[in-house]
Amino acid sequence: MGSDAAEGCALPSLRLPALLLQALSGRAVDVRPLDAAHPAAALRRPVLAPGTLLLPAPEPSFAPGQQRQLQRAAVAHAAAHLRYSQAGRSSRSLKPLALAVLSAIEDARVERLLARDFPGVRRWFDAFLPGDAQPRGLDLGSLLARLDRVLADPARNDDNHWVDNARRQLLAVPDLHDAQAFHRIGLVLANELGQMRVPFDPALPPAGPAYRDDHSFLWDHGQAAQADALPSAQDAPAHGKPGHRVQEDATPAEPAVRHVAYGEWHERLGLWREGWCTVHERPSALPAQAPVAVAPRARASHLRERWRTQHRQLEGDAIDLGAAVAARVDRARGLPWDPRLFARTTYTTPRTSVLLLLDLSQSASDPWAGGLDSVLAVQQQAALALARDLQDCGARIAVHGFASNTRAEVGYWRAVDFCHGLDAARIAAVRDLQARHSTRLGAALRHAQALLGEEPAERRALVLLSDGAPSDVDVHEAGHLVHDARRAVQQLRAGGLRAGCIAFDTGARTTVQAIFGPAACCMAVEAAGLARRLAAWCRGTLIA
Amino acid sequence: MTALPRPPSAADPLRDWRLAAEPYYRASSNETALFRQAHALRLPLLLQGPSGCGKTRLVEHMAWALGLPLVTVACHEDMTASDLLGRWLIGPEGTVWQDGPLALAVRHGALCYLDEIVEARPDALTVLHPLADTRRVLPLERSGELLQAHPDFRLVVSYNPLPGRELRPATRQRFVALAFGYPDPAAEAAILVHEAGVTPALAERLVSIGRRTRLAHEGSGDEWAGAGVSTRMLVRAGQLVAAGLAPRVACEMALVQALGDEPELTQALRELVDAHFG
Repeated sequence: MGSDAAEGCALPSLRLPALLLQALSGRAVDVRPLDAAHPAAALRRPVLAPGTLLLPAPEPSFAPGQQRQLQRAAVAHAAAHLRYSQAGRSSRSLKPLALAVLSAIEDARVERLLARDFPGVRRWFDAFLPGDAQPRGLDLGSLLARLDRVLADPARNDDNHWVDNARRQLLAVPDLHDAQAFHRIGLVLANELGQMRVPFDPALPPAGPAYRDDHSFLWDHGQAAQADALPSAQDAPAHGKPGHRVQEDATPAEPAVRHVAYGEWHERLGLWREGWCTVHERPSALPAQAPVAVAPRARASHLRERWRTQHRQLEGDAIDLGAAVAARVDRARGLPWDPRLFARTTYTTPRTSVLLLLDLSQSASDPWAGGLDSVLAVQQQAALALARDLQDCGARIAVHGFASNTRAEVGYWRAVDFCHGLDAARIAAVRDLQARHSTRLGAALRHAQALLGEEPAERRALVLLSDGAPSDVDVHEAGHLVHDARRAVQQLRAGGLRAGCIAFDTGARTTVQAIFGPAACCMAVEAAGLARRLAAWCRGTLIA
Repeated sequence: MTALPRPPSAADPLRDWRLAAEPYYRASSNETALFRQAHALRLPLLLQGPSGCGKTRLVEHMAWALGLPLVTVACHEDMTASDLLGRWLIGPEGTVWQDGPLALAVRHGALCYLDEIVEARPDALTVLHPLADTRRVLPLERSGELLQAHPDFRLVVSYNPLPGRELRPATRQRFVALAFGYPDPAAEAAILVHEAGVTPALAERLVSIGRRTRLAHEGSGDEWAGAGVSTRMLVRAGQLVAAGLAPRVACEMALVQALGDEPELTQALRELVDAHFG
């Protein structure tokens, strides 16, 4: 319980610190990872701005429990600044030594204030303050650390004159909210240190425990020191907001998780080639996270419900005639009779799982006829809109993609799996899917069938989002991959699954209709009302 | 053999629904006066607000204050019209008609309170339409009866809107409505002191925990289980402390574990509780 609860928690998504920071500070603050390219990244300190907190990567030398404690203390310290500090004070005329001393004094002041309102945070901070056995140096960092210790615990003493004098002056300020009083005392203390020629290297990280920020929040050095205005080479997805696009110049080879072999049908030879293709299944790049609860089912569900009559109920809308007759007979014979004489009619909604499969072939990079985006971008948007709509209706959804580079390498990416919910991280994973190579559709459909077949739902459907005919660089016979894909769709349907296609190029109409059948195809070549039309088609035609 | 449900007393059909003691309620604003106005005009009333903020307690208090029996129905998605209106039962003497809770209240003059009305299926709620407009009648098709509402009959519903769960306009527009939020901090602390028997200092700490989860919900879009920690949950935490549990243990049971199943959500609340207790 309490602080011990932090021990077993791994660190990983930033939702937890974001929730805690908002609760402690009373503000909506964006929490993001501190990018390695950030100018302040080398200090390995949190960077705070009025609307953003950037947290550094976990300390490699810390155990997971300790990392969680450090992060928690960093969040509390940031909350203290947001509540009690004035942001962006002018640093003009202040020397580096004075800035360091004033910053350290402000850190201690706001922590004391926060601990008055939230007594438990004192333990969070104290866990990272130096203990009595720490080296008692005389450089600036050591003196400030010793001052931190005695301010946190006024019962402690320190035999250094400057530390002891500073403690008495700072603890004597009657009102912790009087920042100006602390500022005046800090200037005097800094001047004393200067006269004492205390060693100080401004290039070193700020003095103080690792959970404290880099002080850019406190000072305006002539330009806005806003953490969220500084450019980052790779804009990492922000927690709590829709994911950003991550621009990648090239796609390095990604380690495959598993290789699965599938057969392929040769129509002209009438031959089934066992193990002809190899699917390289790759996971999404996201760290594992706990499944997110699916949003509550919409009351006006668009997934068609079914009436079901339950017989032999203790209560119900109508008398179950058969049960009533049987009970009368038993009663007439002097036997015990079953009082469940009613029938009850209820709605049921069959469980539904839908796998959205994106064709990630190189041709998807071409412009889409219905707008300015590429086909890939439109497919991604359509897939996300469909996934949201289906999830809101209570269906489980998965979003995968595929592209092939000969039969030996049919790449398959699992951006969203059935066990996930559609959260910001998964949305980003879908948007990160890249176009490349070709479209060996049959192998991809068979692999998708294997994954979809594991779902326990009564209704299972696969929806292909594609812009063209199947092809691959090692296939030169016209129509071969179309025949194989049609065979794969037949195998899907024979296995009790449903299959349909959304085509984003009118030129592909004939081909996709040959594979899926005209009734199971939807053309997406105009932007107007696209999301609504696709959702209506999916619910009404494919899943109904 | 299962016993049939006990029929209402012939002498006082609403005996089981009469309140024995005055329920405590601390008003936040003029909601009790507005309730009386709706009552005087026989207007059906809709109470809208998050779960656990005091809607049901207001209804109980006003039923007591107005001298009305209170028939409460907890709505759920399997509820049919028969569950409200009544049904034929087969017993030793043959078939008998038994009024459902709504029909009972309409026939004999009680305040019928449908709690969490949005949980019920829309088609089950259409039976309210002739009651909730100027007609004030309840057709009982299965018994062939058209019930004229007793002059003392009143209809009140509670409504907690969430994404994807809304009332049909045809139903909603038949009601006058009061919007509820959580009590202000001083009022909420007073409620905890009265209901849970905790000290004012502890009540303030519990109220602070609750308020901070609601701030996070309202401000950022990050949801603390849809509504944050409710007043009801805080009262239970206080009751556990008053019974002898340490505050952190009580909060773990009544707040953290009760809030939801998402690990990050529960851990964040656990740390917020930890921050409040030194």
